[in-house]
Amino acid sequence: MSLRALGAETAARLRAAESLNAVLHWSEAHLEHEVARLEGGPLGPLAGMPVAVKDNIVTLDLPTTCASRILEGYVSPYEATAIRRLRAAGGMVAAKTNLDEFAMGSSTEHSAFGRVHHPLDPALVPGGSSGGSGALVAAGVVPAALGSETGGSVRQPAAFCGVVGVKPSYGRVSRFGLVAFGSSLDCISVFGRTVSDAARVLSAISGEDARDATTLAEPPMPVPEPRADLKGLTIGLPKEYFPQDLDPGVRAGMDRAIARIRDLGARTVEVSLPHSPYAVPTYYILAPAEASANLARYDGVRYGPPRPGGLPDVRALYQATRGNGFGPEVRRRILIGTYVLSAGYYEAYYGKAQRMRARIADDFSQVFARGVDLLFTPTTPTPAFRAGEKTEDPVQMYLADIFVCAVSLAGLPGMSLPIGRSGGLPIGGQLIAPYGADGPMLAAAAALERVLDGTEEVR
Amino acid sequence: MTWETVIGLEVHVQLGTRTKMFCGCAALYGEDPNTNVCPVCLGLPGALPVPNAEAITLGTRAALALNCTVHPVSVFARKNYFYPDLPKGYQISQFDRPLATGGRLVIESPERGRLEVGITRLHLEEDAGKS
Repeated sequence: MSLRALGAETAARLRAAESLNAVLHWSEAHLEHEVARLEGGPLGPLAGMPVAVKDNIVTLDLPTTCASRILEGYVSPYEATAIRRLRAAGGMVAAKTNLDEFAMGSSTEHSAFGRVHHPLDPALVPGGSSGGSGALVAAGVVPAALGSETGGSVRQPAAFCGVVGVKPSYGRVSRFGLVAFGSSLDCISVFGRTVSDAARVLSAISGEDARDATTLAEPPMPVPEPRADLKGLTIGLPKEYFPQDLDPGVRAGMDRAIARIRDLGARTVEVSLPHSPYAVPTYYILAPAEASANLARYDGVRYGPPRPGGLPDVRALYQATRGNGFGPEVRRRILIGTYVLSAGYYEAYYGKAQRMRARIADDFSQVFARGVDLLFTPTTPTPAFRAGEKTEDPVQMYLADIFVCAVSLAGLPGMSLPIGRSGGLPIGGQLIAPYGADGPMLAAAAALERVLDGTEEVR
Repeated sequence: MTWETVIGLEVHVQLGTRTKMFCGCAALYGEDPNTNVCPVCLGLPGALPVPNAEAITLGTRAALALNCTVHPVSVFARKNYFYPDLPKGYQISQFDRPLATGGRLVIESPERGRLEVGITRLHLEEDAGKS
């Protein structure tokens, strides 16, 4: 297929998928520009692959709003390092996708521009915060998409939507150009229809970046050779991730996947990550704390929509801008973050959460040090839930991340792979690897993908 | 009652670097506004700071000249407040783990002879309000 035909096909699919509300910005002109840029030159390893990009990663030409009114109409004067590398490798930016505002959410219901609909059932959520990117890949509009994770926001929607979602080791991909939410947690991450597509995109965008001092001092990750089987590997099953009351469909999917893992020659062993129950509370102290500082720059002074006039002082400007520009979930988290960092409470909340974070990370280190190569767990406690089901109780919404957020706290690579369907809804299995072992994790996932049909009913 | 006067001095010193503390923009005065700027010092969404190595060298040199203990590991921390001349809504400074601590400066006073002035700490930060 020629680049020109690929561009036209992508445009047609974007138009056909409008009812998902997964896209915030795209245009024929922009796609044509991307095609023209690649025409007549080397195609690079991504060979013209159209890739959708979550709208909290800055791009040239297409706006970056983070699904927030406070950045409505904002066009960045620079592009993220990950985008520059994606395009240099022959990828095309297809569209900017919808998300929970400033990446804060687990359902993409907190966007200022309407929620995203699950491609299989519009009454359901696609997960979040990278729900737009996940939905577009699941709907077959693009083969891959970029999202971001702070506490599971690519793995969780990947599980809900039935696609592959990969969070790399923290520092594997430059954060320069990713709008900061939780700086010590944020990772640009990848959705793909297959492990191979996700791995190719991850390889293209990875590598040390002088503009991001937290990147790993390593060259771009090579595309890993897929494993033929799992012989010689020990896969740990952390007991805290298999509670008695696990959704029966998820349990059936996991049982089937674990049987396949054994068929492929791996040894499975029960392990324990004892501080697991503290992951969600720890995350919801640390992430809001970092967010309260990272979102302080949105004050209406230098960028954003036109300022309200006639205000008596600068404080009134801030209140008008931020009070109206930020949605309720963003304001909730800024308030929590400011509170836990305030004098008198700093040690009790933030200090304690920092120490707990170290213990959570240590749980993983200890297990990996004892001959376990990878961990395998459910990605989410249930399949996709209905829109509106969890919006009344923020804590219920936060618990959707119960199996994914410890990995973020520990900075480890993790991914979700579709392992089957329950009542027609996708279920994801999660692989977790030691820090830096992104390649081996993807290689093992490729072997499992070959023997598991993600569209098959599990019970 | 006898009273002893104790005066603490907080001295801000602009280091002689060619570029700014956390980005590669020229640290020059007198140009047209918004000339020596970039996404980092403007605090644009997604921009990240990278510490100026020369500033760390000069700061360390000053610390040694002041007989301080230089700490191989120090931490940049955010000082959060809102002000229109503060692009990020925080100033990157150092708080509980500064570059250097515990020094002294010996001076000769005409009235009192040799005096030792204690240096509590020395740290690096970006100059708030001078982006």
